[in-house]
This record gives sequence, structure tokens and C-alpha cells, in this order.
Amino acid sequence: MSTSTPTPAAAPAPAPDEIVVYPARLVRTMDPARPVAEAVAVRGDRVVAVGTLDELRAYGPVTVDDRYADAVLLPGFVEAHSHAMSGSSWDKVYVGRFERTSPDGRVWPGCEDVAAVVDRLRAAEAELDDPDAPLLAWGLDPIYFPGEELAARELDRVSTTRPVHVQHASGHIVAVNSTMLRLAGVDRGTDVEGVVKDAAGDPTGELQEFAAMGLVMAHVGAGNPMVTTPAALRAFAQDAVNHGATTLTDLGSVEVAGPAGPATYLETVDETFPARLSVFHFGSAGALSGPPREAAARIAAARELSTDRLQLGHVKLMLDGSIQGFTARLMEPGYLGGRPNGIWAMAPHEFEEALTAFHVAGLLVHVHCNGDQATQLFVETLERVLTAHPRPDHRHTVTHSQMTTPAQYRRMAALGMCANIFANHVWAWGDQHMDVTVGPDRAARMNAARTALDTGVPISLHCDTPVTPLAPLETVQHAVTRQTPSGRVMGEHERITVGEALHAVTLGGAYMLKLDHEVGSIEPGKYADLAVLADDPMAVEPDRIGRIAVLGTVVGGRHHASTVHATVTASSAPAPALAGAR
Amino acid sequence: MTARLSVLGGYLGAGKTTLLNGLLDTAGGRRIAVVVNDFGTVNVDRRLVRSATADTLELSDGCVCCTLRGEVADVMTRLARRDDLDHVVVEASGVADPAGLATWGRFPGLAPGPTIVCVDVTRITRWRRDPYVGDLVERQLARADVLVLTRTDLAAAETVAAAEAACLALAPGARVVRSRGGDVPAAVLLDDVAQDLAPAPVGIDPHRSESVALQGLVDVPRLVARLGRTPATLVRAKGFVRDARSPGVRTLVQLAGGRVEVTHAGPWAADDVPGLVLVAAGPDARAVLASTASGLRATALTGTASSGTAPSDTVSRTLGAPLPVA
Ligand SMILES: [Zn+2]
Repeated sequence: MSTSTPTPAAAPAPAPDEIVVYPARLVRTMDPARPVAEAVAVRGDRVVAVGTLDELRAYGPVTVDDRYADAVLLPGFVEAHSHAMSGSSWDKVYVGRFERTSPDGRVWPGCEDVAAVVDRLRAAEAELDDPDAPLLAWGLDPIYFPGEELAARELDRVSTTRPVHVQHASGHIVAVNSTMLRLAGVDRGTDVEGVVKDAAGDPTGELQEFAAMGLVMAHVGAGNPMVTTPAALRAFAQDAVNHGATTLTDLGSVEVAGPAGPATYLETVDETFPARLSVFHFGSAGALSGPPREAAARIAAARELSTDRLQLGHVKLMLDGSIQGFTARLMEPGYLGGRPNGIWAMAPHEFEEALTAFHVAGLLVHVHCNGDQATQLFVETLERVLTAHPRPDHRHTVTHSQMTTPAQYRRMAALGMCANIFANHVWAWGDQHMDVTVGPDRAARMNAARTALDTGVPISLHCDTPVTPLAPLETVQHAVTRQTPSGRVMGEHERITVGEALHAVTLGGAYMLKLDHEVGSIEPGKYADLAVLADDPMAVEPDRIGRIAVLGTVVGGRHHASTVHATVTASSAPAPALAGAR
Repeated sequence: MTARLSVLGGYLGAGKTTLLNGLLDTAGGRRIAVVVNDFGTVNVDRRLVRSATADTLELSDGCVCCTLRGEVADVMTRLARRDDLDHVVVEASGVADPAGLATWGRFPGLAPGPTIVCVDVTRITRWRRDPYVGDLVERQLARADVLVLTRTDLAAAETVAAAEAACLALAPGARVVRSRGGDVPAAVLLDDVAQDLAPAPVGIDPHRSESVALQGLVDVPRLVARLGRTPATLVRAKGFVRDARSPGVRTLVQLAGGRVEVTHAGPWAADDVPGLVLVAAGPDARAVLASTASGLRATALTGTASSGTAPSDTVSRTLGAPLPVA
């Protein structure tokens, strides 16, 4: 295996007119004309051909580069719903329930109980030099620790001198230690809703919702998470390299049409940046100054600044919240146990105005719809917009599409819409969907990739990182197995095949980004964007696909090595997250 | 000085912006910070701006205007630290539950004030029945300490009374304030001062008035032009007409303060009566009314009888959208 380690990212690109042939254990192209091959020939940043070594020699003098001789090459994966700010999550300590790998290659095992969280935090605390610096952590999901508490009493075991601040995965709660409470002046006299108090009237250290969380904000010292930094972009792209993704999205940036403009993206995403990036402008109310029509003009102008690596000019809108947070908008019969319906992120009328403006300006729009009522509103609105303003090949996309019904998929097919399905939810919250949010019947129908394909709706599958890890092979596994952490299958009928799922995370994603002519398959004339894998996803058991080691990527002919050395040999070892969760 | 925090809620188009501008106009020495989603909604052009940053305008009368473009927590903690404010009024988005923002009322440096919810009496029944927003509109109403009924001058007395009863059923303890054009003084809203408006504001004030029926389709640009030529003693004109260009829509035409405004106000309903109410003042009010009425009939009617209604999709697309005049 050591001979196949890719060269570091700093290696110079080959001369532009030289043809380099990369033999591999297997080249899987996702192009039905030549689905598998021995080798791929690359000139500059483009694929010349795939075939046998002999066939490829016919294209002229070639250099044979054996670095991938033991590897399996696939088209680089396309992650069509992700967020660049995930690159900055790793400035804090991860204490989530499931294993994650930070962009620097460090594997963070899932914290299976409160004791593991405290241990993780104590270890991180010991590494901090500045005695006054706060210890910040993220990803705590107490839904997995029923009956256990994690607040000041537990966090005081981490430090009694340094403020400790732990964000819940929901984003709506934080837990802090006594030092933080003292620094922020939060005590029994604090009468702010959301400051949880014990029977004696003292704050427990759990702060719910934004007013209570705001009490300690001044002592957290975090930067504005909405602002993209070059460091965050680079960490985000390295995360992609580590997981075989070569095309990323930043789905909902407020900068492109704002006063900052796309400068950070333009400066950072140069020809050495290890991924292509499509930046969607967040076009919902509140994120824009001025009417959508004016924003549409600015976004259309930004599109002209696009480069080979950086695509500008698409738009994201948001209609509802999340299902596990009970804020998604559901149709009848609603949430389990008759909980009130969720919230709209935009009023239907505002949505229609925005969608019309962006559509008329010729822009591609992806709309966040978790609940089926959100999908319904999008479909009905788009039907009116398209009737008034017909436009061929718009590829407007329902993103998340978690509860989209068969009837809605049929309408989407008729309207030329795409679906980007949140398959990772089957794993991340599948048990909660069956038991808590919508019940086993509707859960079995969620993230209905089979139905979408059967009705002719083009699909992709996504991670929404930092919400779930950026790892397209894991996403494929979840769409294929539909297995939850408890070992149950969440709707066998909606499983898709490995081939269909791989298509979804390559050409499928490329199609809904309008990049399918450039990426998504290993095909003559397209960019030489490759995922370098230790195994063939079609040849391993479906529940092993997510554990296939990713050695690195090739982006436009340049080689980028994974930083995850620890897991290179892990493909034959038991998977900790899977094994531990039974 | 601890500022009292009030949340201003209500569905999109319920009149929140008008009310906020009215608050600043009638601040009367109160130092009010308004927090809005977009500066564009506040009439800052007619105020003296003492200093401005990207998200805060300090006005010369001591009032402040902030936008909620970044994190809510940033704005709220910044305002809570100031000691020169009497009131903070936060405009909730048209789809927000005001309760979320109201929790900031107990943040150190702030005190809880009333949650104010605007209700457009001409549309509330329709919104409550809407499959997408009905539940959320009712949730907003239930949060109200003060219910501001808006557009009461555009609705029949029974409609206003029915809207008030329906809202009070959802927010039993709420104080009801009736607004005609957003004209609710700051004292009434923020200081619990009893409303000094007449309890039944639907009727026309002591000036002389006359109704002009405008049955049929109307040439709105010509109607607007004709209204623009009336003498200053014609102080007000208001009513719904059917625009020949969009007959399925209630087109609201208003003359006030010498300006004519045209807006769409929902679909045309079977029982809507097309026409304008004219109000004139002064010794020759009667003559002004008569000449205006005959002039409007002569110039504005297209001679086309109106029948049927436009497809409902046309209607919902133009709901509440301001139209260019002329
Ligand atoms: Zn997202």
C-alpha cells in the first residue's frame, strides 16, 4: 500500500502538453460507454481517454505514472450541499456521538456517554497554554444520553479556573461550567428565560435559546461564523480531499451579493486549491439588502467572475427548519404526538417574489425543504413561476427533500426539478425519526431516493456538513442500506443500488450544479478529477462502503494526498462507530 | 436607565413597518431603538442622522435604528449595554413567533415590555384559513399583549368587530388598539396610555363626504391623474376599484396628504363594492365633492363591464405588492 501513497499537494503539475497515463487496479468511470478501464490518460487538467495501456499509447508519447497502480479510481465525488464554514468547526473540540475526522486527518471517536465527553474535554484542556483562554467544544447531542446530565457540575470536572463552553448539536443550547457562569455574572438572581435552574434556584449551567446563550457570548470570543476565511476554505477543501470529493458547494453564502463581495473566494480558490467550489448565494429575506431583483443582478454579475475552480452565480433559498428540531413544515398528519407544526423561514409571498426574481434573471435556485409542506409550497410556486416565465433546463432543486411524497416527485418530474436527498439522515437521526419525530410509517418513506429515481427525478445525495460529516462513500452506504444506528432498516423500499448511489454523488450532483459537462464522470474532455480509493465500492459489502479508505484526490490533473493516514489500513478493521452503536 | 423591550410581530403586510415609522414620528422625547430587518423600511431620509455604521443609525432626536443582518445576539447585547434608551422595539419577521425575541426582555440591561402584534382586519380571515400560514398567524396572535388592528378604515364596521372578536379569542388578555393609517402614537403603544382615538373609527370624521360608485373596469392611471388635479380641500379619497389591467384584484386607491397611492390588496371578493369615498373640507366642500365625483366617473371608467374573476394564481402573486402609479 505504501507505494500508492499520492505525492503531496505541493508537487508541480505535469507539463500541459504531456500525456500522463495512470494505470490503476480499476478505473470505474460512471460513463456507460466505457464503465471500467485499466488506466486513465490525462493531459494538463483534462482526461484524454480511458482504456488499456496499449490503447492509451495510441494517443502519442505518454509517460506512465504508477502511483495509483494499486488503487481504484472513480470520478471525484460531487458534494452538492455543504457549507464552507464547516472548515472552522475544528477550531473547537468535537464531542459528538459519532466518529468524525477533522481535516488535519485526526480521527475523533464518538463520545458514547457523558464520561467520554468529560474525558475528551479534560485532555483538550491540558493542551491549552493560555490559562485564561476559554475551552470551546461543539457537537454535543444529549439525545443519545438519556438520563444523564451534562452541565456545570460535570464541566467543573474539566476546569474550575478556565471557562468551558459546550455547544449542543442542535445549535439552540449550550452547557457551561461554573467559572463561565461566574464570569458572565449568571447566578440565582438572573431572571432570563432559558437559564435552567435546579430545585434550589441556582443555574445548572444549561442555557437554552439565544437570549440565555447570549449571556456568556462575550466570554466565548468567537468570530462571526457567517464570514468565510481563507483558513476555513482550505480546511474545508482538505476535508474533501480526505473523502474523495473534488467538487464542493458552499450552499448559502451571504457574501457574494453583499458588501464583502466574492473577494475571499476569488483569492483563496486558485488553481492550487484542492477542490472545485460552487458558491450559492443565500437569497432569503434578511440575508439580502434590498429587493431580490437587485440581488439577482449582483449575483448574475458575480457569475461572470467564475473560474475553472470557482463557480459563482447560483442561489439558495430556505423555506423551513429541521425535522429533528420540529421546525420543518409538515403536511397532515404532522408530527408524532400532535406537536405543533414547524416554522417558515420565508413567507410564501416573499418566497414567490424571490424565486421569480432569481428565475427570471436566469439563475439556478436550490431551495431548502425538509418537510413535505415546504416541498409542496416550492412545487406549487414554481409551477406558477414557470407558467408565467417558461425557461428551458432550469434544474431548480429541492435540497434535503426529506419528506417529499411520491405525488410531489411526479409533479417535480413534470416541472423539470431535481432532488438533492439528505441520505445521511437515515444514519444520523433515523432512530429518532422512527421513534420520536414522525413515527415508523412516515420514517420509512423519508429520503425517498428509490421513488425519486422511479418517477424520473434526477437526484444527488448530500451531507450538509457540518451537520453530518462530509464523506460521500458513507452517504452512498446510507442510501443503499438505510440502516440506522440501532440496526433497524428505515424503509427497505427506498433503498437504491450501489451503482445508482454512486451515480447520484458524481454525475447526479454535477447535473444539479450545471457542471455535468465538466465533472462527474471520467470521460474524454472532462476535467481530470478523480477519487483515489483503496477499494471498489461495487465490490465490497454495502455496509462496508463507508469504511473504504480514501487515499486522496486528483483535481484538474493535480494530486492531493489525504491527511488521514491512520485509517488507510482500517478498511479491514471493524468500524468503531458501527460496532459501538448496536 | 433600563430600556423596555417590545417585540412587534404580525404576518407579512400586517402594517408593522407603518407602525414603526409612526412610533419614531411620535417618539416625543422618548429615546426609542428600533431593530428592523432592513434599513430600507424606515423613513430615515426625513430624519437627521447623527452617525451611521453598517448596521446602526443614531438619529438626532436620540432614537436609534439597527438592522438584524448579523446575529440577533450581537445587536441585542449591544443595545442592552446602553443606558440612554427608554424603549427597544424589535420588528419580528413576518413569519416569526414573537415569543422567541421576547425572551430578550429579561436580558440584563433590558426589561420586558408588551408584545405588539399587528392584524390587518381586511385580510386576517383569509390568512387564518391559509393552509401554509394559518397556524403561524394564529400563533402570532396568541402572543399579543397589544393587538393593533390595522386598515380599519378599509373595512366595514362588522368586519372590524369580527376581526377584533376573533383575535381576542386567541389572545384573551390583550389590549386592542385600532389604527387607521399606522397612526398609533408611541404613548399608546409603549406606555400603556389609553387610546384616545374614537372607539369606532370606521365612520368618516366631521368633514363632508360622498361615495362615488365606480362600477365596471377602471383606467387606474387616468383615475390617479384626475385625483392628482383635485383642489387641496379634497383632503382624502379612498376605496377599492377594479383595474382594467388586473380585474381580479382589489386595487386600493388612496389620496392622502396630497399624494395618491395605489396598492393591491388581495383578490376581488364577490361582495366588494367598487368606488371611492371622498372627503372634503372647507366652505365649498359640497361643490368640490360634486365636481370630483363627476370628473372621476367621466375619466376613469373604461366602459367595460366587469364580470367574473381572474384566476386565483394571478391574485396570490400580487397580494400586497405596491404598484407603480401611472
Ligand atoms: Zn445546509
